[in-house]
Amino acid sequence: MKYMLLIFNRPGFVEELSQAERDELFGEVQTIMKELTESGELVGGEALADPTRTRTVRARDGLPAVTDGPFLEAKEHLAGYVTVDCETPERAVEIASRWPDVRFGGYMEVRAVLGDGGTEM
Amino acid sequence: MTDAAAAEDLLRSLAPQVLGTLVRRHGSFDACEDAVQEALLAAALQWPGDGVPANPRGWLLTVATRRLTDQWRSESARRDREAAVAAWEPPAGPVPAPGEDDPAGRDDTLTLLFLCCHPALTPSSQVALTLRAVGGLGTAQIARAFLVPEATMAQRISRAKQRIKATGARFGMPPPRERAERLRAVLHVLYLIFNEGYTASSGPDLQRADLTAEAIRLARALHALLPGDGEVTGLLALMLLTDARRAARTDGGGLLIPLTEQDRSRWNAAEIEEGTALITDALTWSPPGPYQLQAAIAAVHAEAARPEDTDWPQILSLYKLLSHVAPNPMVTLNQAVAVAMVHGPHAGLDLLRTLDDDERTAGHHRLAAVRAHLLETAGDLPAARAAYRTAARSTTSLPEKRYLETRAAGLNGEKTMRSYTLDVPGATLHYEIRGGGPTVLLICGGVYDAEAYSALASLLADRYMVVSYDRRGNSRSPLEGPPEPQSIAEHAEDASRLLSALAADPAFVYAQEPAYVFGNSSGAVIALELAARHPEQVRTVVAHEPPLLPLLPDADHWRAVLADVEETFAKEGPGAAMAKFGVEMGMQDDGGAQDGATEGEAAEGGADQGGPAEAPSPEILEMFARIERNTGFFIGYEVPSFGRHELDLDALRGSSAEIVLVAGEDSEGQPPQRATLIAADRLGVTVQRWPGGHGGFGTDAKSFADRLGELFGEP
Repeated sequence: MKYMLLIFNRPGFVEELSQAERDELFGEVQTIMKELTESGELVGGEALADPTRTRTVRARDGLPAVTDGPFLEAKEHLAGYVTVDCETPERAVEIASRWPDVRFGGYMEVRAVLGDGGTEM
Repeated sequence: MTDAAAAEDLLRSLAPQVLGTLVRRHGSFDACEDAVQEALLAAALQWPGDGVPANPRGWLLTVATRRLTDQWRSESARRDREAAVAAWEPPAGPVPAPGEDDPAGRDDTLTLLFLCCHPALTPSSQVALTLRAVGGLGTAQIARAFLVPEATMAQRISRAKQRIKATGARFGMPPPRERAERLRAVLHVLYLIFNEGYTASSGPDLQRADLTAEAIRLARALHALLPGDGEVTGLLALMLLTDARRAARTDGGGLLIPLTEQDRSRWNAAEIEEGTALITDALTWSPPGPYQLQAAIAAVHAEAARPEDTDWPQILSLYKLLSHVAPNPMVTLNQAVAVAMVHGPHAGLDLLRTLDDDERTAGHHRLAAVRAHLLETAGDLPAARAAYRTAARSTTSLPEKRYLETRAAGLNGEKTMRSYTLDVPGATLHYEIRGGGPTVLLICGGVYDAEAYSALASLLADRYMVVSYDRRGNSRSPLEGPPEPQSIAEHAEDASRLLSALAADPAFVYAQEPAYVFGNSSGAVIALELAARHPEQVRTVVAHEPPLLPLLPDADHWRAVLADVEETFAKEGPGAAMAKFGVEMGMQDDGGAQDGATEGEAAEGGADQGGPAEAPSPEILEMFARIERNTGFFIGYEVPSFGRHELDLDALRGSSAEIVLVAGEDSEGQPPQRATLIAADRLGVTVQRWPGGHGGFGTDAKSFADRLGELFGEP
């Protein structure tokens, strides 16, 4: 079963960390990624660039309209995601719990990925 | 089979034998497995060009052994243990050593299966390793089938092999006391592989569907090795019987089609035959295990040519046995469906309730989906809709989500109209059911048929099970013999027979309660006659303008008119008879005279959403064609006898059914309304006035639906 672990944190929070804290944060992420790779659970993942580079597309008067932003200073944003393929939902939650962003005020969302298989009802 | 396919088939069946031989000789499963993969790759590259060697097994064994030796050499060199290599030198030449003929290879396949399904591994690792080591599939193929990157799958397989190594498991059959347990694990892994392929939707996922073929191939191999094991036979039979439905289980767009709605002609007859033979035989000599029982259930489904031919009592008894042999909430879930089919949806819903507290199923989408289905059958549409939506939200399968959302959205009357037929003495009745809930029977008058009620029926279908039908001799309800004079009594009996048939069907729980009946014009006379004859079947009768001509003060005049109509029909045909009758009724001079609703009015009502300007729907246009055919039957065989019918007012007064008489606001003074007012007076009931004229059921369907809802009460 595949799960997407969505990483939310406050934009810019990394800049406020000390060098030692930053090293610890990235070191932990690296360790977890290495473990997931070795266990054969890692499907993929991406880190997202700063939200100031965001473009938002919405319909306005029935036509797509593009705006810059949103520029959210204090609120959490989606900073990246990791997709894992693991045996149980508990295991997915366990992986998410270890993500260091959680300790620094961020949070993780564990979302089951829709599969294309289905049984006759 | 093409040469390439034949070569691949050969390679894949040799893979486990070669691996087995290699592991027995050299011990290291981990290293041997890599070596065999490399040999398979080399064969896949060379054989198509060079041709399959004379001794393919020997060829693979030689190549794999060389790779293994190279591998050991380089490692040994690094560790300065060159001397150890000599012991692993392979025998020279490609000829297999004595004792390495097929039987040994076949035993090796079994040993390998046991090893790959080692309890130290997670199920997904067991699956991956089995497909590679026993199935001979490459990592890339397995990765594609499970939709993960190749690196992920490679890592999973490598981790699984390390695990096996770490447990110190030797290459050999597990001790006898562990065998049964290990065989169960093997069967489970094969079942997982099968399901992964079977549940994949068609189209872009053919890669994944290939897994079913692979699982069947492995199950066949296992069955050949252990022909005396009932569960192995059962699993193979279950796979064949399930796979037989593959082509019919999804539509062109990949949307799931439930078993009952599948085109059974698309089921694979050869697979059904083979699977059925296997399971029938196994059950004669083996104690029934879970796979055998599931296969037996699949076989019972497969033997039914139509869904309604399904032997549900037998399926239910098999589920009972299954829940005894292998108690499991998923079995209970399926059992609830069988219970519902045998004892009605409420019995099924009762059984489902026992699963609400089971943490394995509470919140599971299957529980909500089955509950939704049973609620829909029971007629509780709002609850069914809610349960379908809950199920759609909790599934992680996209096709299931689409299916469940479609079901929830489809629970409005118009879309779920179902047609049936009922054999009655002398005729076959066509009837239609919309929605679910307490039964509302609609009896049409005159030349019309079930379709004339489509607007009204759809409006009521969100709360009631609305049943409408073509009366005998009309439209789609043919008489057995030539046309003959009809009687209100016989038509009332038809209505009674229809209600009895619905009550006898366990699917319609509410139908066991007395029904609400609405009739218009001659349909109203039939409805009243039904209440007089069978009060136990009717809760309320709403009769809209019954043309009870014998009650009119000028009854003698009407007797003469009817005799004239009869004579004109015999001498001059339906057209002239109809014209005479229309003039006398003082309503219309078109075909639908007695029943008032002009074609324009009916179209307006029948088209439902459409206003008067809307073009009639194809269904309405078809109805017009039927009405034209009905007109001759109506004027020739219904009007004379129906018009003379004398209602038993005493019986009606004594009937337990509530009687409501309705007159149209726009049909004041017309003969049917005058007769209605007199009937109300005689029966001691008041007359309600509803919008529209004699055909108000079509022109003012919304008002009629609201007023009927008020009279019948919201369920």
